[in-house]
Amino acid sequence: MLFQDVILTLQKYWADRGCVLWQPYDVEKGAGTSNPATFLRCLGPEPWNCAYVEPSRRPTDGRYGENPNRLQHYYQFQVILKPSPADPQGLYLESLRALGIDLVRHDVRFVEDDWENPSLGATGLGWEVWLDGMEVTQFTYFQQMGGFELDPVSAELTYGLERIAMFLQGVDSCYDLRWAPGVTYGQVHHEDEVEWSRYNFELADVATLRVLFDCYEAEGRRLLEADCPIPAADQVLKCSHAFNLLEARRALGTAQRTELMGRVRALARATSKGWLALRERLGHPLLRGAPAGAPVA
Amino acid sequence: MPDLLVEIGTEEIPAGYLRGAVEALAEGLRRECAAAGLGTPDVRGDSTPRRLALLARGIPATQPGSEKLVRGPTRDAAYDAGGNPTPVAQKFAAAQGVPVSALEVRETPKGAYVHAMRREGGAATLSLLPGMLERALAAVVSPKSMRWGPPGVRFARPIRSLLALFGADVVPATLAGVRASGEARGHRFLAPGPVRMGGADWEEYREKLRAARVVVETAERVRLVRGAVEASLARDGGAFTREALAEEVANLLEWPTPVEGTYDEAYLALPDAILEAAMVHHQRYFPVRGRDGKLRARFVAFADRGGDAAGEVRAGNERVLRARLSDARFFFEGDRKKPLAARVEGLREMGVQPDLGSLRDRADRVARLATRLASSPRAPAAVRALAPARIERAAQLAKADLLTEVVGEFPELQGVMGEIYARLDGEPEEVAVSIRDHYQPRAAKDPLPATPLGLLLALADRAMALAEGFALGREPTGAGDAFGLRRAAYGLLRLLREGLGAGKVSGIVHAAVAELPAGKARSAGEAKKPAIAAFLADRLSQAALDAGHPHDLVRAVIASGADEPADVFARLEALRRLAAEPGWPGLVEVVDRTKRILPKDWKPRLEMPAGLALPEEQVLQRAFDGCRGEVQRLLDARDYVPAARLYRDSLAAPVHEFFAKVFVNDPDPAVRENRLTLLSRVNRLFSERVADLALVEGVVGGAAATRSAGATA
Repeated sequence: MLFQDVILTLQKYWADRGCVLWQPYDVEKGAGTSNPATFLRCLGPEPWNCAYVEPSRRPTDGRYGENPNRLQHYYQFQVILKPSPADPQGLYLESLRALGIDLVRHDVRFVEDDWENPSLGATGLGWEVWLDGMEVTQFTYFQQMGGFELDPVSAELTYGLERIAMFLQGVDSCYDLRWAPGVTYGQVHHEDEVEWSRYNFELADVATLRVLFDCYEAEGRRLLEADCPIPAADQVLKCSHAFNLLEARRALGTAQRTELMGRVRALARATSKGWLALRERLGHPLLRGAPAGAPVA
Repeated sequence: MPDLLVEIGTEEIPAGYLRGAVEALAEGLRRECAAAGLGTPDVRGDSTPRRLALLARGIPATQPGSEKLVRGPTRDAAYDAGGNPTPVAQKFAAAQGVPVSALEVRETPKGAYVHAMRREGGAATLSLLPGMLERALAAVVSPKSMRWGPPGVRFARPIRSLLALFGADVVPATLAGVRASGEARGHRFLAPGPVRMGGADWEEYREKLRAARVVVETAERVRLVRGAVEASLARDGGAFTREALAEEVANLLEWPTPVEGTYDEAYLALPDAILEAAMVHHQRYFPVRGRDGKLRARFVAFADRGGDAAGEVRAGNERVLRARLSDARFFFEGDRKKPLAARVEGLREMGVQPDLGSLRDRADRVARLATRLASSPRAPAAVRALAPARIERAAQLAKADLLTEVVGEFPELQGVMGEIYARLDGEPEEVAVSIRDHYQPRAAKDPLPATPLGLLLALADRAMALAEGFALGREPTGAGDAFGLRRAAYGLLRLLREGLGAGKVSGIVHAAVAELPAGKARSAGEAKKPAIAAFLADRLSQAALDAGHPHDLVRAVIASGADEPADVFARLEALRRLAAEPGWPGLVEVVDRTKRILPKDWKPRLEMPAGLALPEEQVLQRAFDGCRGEVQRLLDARDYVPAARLYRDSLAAPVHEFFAKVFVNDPDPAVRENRLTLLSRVNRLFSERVADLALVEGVVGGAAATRSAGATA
């Protein structure tokens, strides 16, 4: 199965089950969780089922294209089921079958993993899903976001698309993945990994990043004061990414790391609060049976 | 009496939670049965990642009934003049669940009252079980629990099915929104359909689950895992060592199937610690060592499957391990480009805390403290012989591996990698070893550092942790000890007692606080010194109690002011022997009587009393003067048993005579003062150098007898 067919199959599978096919969000982020379709939408009482591909950046994971398994830019497939349905594990396993994985021949395991994202003030309980020993998915019941207890609870499924495709194609290097007929993942992305690794580890200007962090934070604060939580959420993401780049440049001591992370978390919390208030002002429109809330079946 | 069979089907519960959850559930059910008057049934529990199963044997089908006489209103209120029941009587009868005609009037000392005979209990157990199960489940506390939907429900992971049979009947229970049925669940993939049970029978349940590809008994799964690993190890003559891993793996699977794999022999060039961390901690594979103790390039993994005929599961697991090892090699080779010593400066950025500075600053503090402790006259010769430059080097390098890539990837290898890198860098062997060793003991029963340098560094590290923790106000409270100070205290005491065999707690605390940065941290530390000492004395008592010493003797030794752990244990051992001797009550009596006679606010005088006139006084003084020098010499040599015997044999009779004949509290203050001084000196020779035996309980002729004798003297 081609890399792009993995995406097409998952999109079709979850669309057929009532999910909104959301799209990648155009701000750098470490994971699909930071996309407002998850970060904001899992807050509050409104139902929300969605699925999307998320290009994700983890600057410290760059290996200059030399490591077959680590990338500073990779793809997640993210699914949010809110409220968490009666059998989310069953729905997930069915999606693996849709990808052609024989669940009797292969070993699928749910291995304890208590997830947290401290800069978003988010926590959850769940598992890593192992497929013949390889972690292919993060499966989480969100408990908190932006520091707020979540009710209802959302189930978050985060597929590692490269890993699943490597499993399906039986290749040892992500660069050897067949993306489309005649085109490999390496041909699409290898040079990106080399240059971005140089940027992340060597070239990104630390002084500029520090200034940017401060600016994004100030901008976020200003937007929240102006009662504009949706653009403020972008500033949370931008702060996080500046933070991640500073980490890659090894520019943060422990105390400063804690301090900056605390500042992102505080902004995420204030943004969450603003979003909750906004949805309340709007009268929680998705509670009134709008199409996005169609139950997953 | 029917049995009760319950299976709570869940999503995968973490392996480490299972045993506790099933035990708590069984205990909850026993408690509920007892509370409902159903006796305490024999409850057995078992678990897999996807189910908690209980069988309770022999629960009565109905609650035993009882009758209870309840007093109601007065006769006059209950019946009108014509003898007809009033609304008051009707209301009372209804409340007690009896017809009005069943009410009877009885005379009581307060007058005539209406009574009803109320029946209690007697309910069908089946109708009580839903509430009992709900409460038993609610009492299960997991290390972490979650919400997933049902209002007000928290559990380790979502509950998705429920089997509950009482005899052949389905218990009409609903737990976490799931209705009970008579069906168990089979293996998620190998036998996904429901498993219909005929009744509450453990054998039937176990065998039907086996047919549905679930081994429900944990002990059997552990045996299967262990047996498969042993068979694989046997091919290279290796021995099985990983009990804990076998238990964990067994709790991750319902149908354990071994999958053997190999990896490239080239990876054997990496340190064993890295290979084992990748296999054991990250993948839960069993590494294979041969008869020679050396790693082989193969492993045993487990799948939750019937088999792997096509080798696909093996290939997948091998691929994952290959990726991990290739990453580890990348990190290891990267780390080797720079010696460990070159990373010390980088610690300036790490672990920065207000008033204490960075890990770099801390390394300096620990180095100074260790050097100072090594020069103490109490330190063993091997420690005093350590070159200061060696101590300095080891203290500086101790935490430098926190900045290596391998430790970043495998945090559990901190210390271990430091040792490996230091050795490869050509650091002195004892320095390398001490980097790993200074984290020992991490837990109870852990071995202590093997070398004098390791012991010294471990001691300084813990003493510093305690001084820093208390100075920053991080004392352990109640059950909480977020900064690990209890563990640090426990380690420090063991290092002093078993490792160095000498060293006073007070001196070490003093030295550690003196190395805190001048200013806020040090002044806070100075103020907290008594609290640190009290905390350590408390832990020391606990350690002595854990070693089986009786609590009154532990109190007696601690009360003597002993704060050298090795010495405290030496005294306790001596007292244990002395207490077995016939002369023990006599010894206790000397210390006890000479203590009790002293007024609470009395201040001892140092000089020997003059002008003792009575013969009993003089006899006691001579006896004391006669034995004091030798007793002190024996005490200085810590020959506690002979010292105590000499003390007892010299003083028991004179003390006894003294109290029989001498009235201590003479009206003349000078005479009284002299007598108290003599007795106090007798007392202090033992109670301040060995143990305050006035705290000993239950010695014949001891405390109680002494008090009456003192009163009549």
